Amino acid sequence: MAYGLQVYAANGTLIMDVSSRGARSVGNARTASITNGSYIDVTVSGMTSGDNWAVYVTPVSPPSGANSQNYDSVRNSGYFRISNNMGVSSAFDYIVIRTG
Amino acid sequence: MMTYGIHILNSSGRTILNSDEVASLFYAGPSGTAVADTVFPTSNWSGTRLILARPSSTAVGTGTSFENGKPQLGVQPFSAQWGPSAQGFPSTSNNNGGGHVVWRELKAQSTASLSPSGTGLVVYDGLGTGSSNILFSASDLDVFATLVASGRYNGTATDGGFRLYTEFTMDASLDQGRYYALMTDTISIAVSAFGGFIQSHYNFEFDYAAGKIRVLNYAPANTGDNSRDADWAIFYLTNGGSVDDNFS
Repeated sequence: MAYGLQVYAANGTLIMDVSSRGARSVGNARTASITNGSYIDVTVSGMTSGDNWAVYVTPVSPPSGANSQNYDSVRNSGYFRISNNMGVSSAFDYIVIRTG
Repeated sequence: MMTYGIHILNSSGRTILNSDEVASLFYAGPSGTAVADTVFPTSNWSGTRLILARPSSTAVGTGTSFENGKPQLGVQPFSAQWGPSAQGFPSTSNNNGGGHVVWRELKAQSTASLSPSGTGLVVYDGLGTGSSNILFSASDLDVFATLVASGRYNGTATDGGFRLYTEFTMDASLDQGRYYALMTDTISIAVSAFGGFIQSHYNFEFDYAAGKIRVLNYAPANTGDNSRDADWAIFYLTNGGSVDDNFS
């Protein structure tokens, strides 16, 4: 290799090199309950709306049926917003990772 | 510019590891095989878990149109079950691979109680040298998942009707059986529409014959938002061992 880092597992398999994307754990938590039609902003230092970050969200108490899909998470500069439009109140589990 | 520590970039300028971040790399932890149309995983999951999954085989079932028999993987959010599609899902009712998925759990190395030993590079977060301070341990990456694609459910390509998608192409030189989709933040539900039950998806459809994974953004117009704001991810198990050597 001309530059960069290569990491091999004990069995000789190349597991990381200059083309790898290293997903890293930033944190996870559960929000307070969000009422229908409302949102919560979660502050994350350094977060951007770009693709070097990701937020994965799961409703804790979603309703049965199609309304269970009506929630969103949007990343912004320094925070992300979870919006609840499921028709019922629910807390949300979230996981924040850096992807670049 | 950092004054000390380690910062590794890939050839695209993205950070692989940065000791300033206090953000630990993931490794692929426990794995298993689950029947696709029952509770999965059996213990449910919480915010601390990232669950990866893939079909257990390349088999394709019967089906047409939107429910085409290709395995679609996603979560039924209100029951933590896999979506009960009759056709677009691995199930025993449509000859679709026996109805099983292989799953893995991604864990941060800092939460995995690792005890690095022997040879290899170990990077700590600067706050200590305990297992919770590990950002990267080369000696504990025998099963390692690397992110190969990520994005948002805002695909605009369509194959007709309400199925919008973004398409990911698997590397033909790699093992298709090691591509996993992140199940956390997916949705797969059956909804009543057009006089019958159809599927509503924000999830993944595996097409091994074409070497594609479609990130579906599919919601019938009369049942929900067709442009959900949420993130998705596809991982590749770089060193999965026997669990991932079963695609022949």
